[in-house]
Amino acid sequence: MAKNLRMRAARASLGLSQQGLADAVGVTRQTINAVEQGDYNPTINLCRAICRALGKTLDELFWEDDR
Amino acid sequence: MSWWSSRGFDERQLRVRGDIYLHGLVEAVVLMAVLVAVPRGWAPFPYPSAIALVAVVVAASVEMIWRGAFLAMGPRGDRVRRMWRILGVVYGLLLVLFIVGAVTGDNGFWSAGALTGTGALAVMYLIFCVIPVTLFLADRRDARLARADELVDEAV
Repeated sequence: MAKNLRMRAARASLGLSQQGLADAVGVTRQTINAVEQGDYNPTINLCRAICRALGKTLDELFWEDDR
Repeated sequence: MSWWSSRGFDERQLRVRGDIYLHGLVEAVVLMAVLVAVPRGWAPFPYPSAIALVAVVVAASVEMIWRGAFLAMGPRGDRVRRMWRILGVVYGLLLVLFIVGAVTGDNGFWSAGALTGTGALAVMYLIFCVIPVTLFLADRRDARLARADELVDEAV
């Protein structure tokens, strides 16, 4: 799986650390890191929770750009 | 999913733990089969099997620790971490006793070239030592990775 750079950029633009996002979402820092590195495929519930925490939509963070 | 097993772990941790339990079970079966075949007499019954099971449990725990799925989130995980730190000190003391006993040759751990029951128990405790050591190393690694990620975030 490819790295999720959009998620990382969205998190960095809010000044959130991985631990801060993890605390907001209710998961471990390692899980947030795994999602950003493309090492873990999150469930839709976790994707939605991350989007809510970052103020983005699912398309903006998790939809693969085939162009 | 039972309340006990899922409490405090996130979805990734639960998936990792499930994978590890599955191949840990297979490893335990294989190890038991190997134990049937190896020469006996190095420790009294049933300590060889017990030591083998402890080794499998510790190996699974080490993998969970390294993949960030050993400790639950929040206060529960913190309590377990503190417990393992205390146990690490206890295991360290046992290691010293074991080494001193082995060097002096006059102790309750060895007898006629084989482990006594006390010695086998000491070996099991020593194998458990690996868990607090791995927790310490994993904590250091995670702190280093978190700092590195923060530096990258600043650059972004």
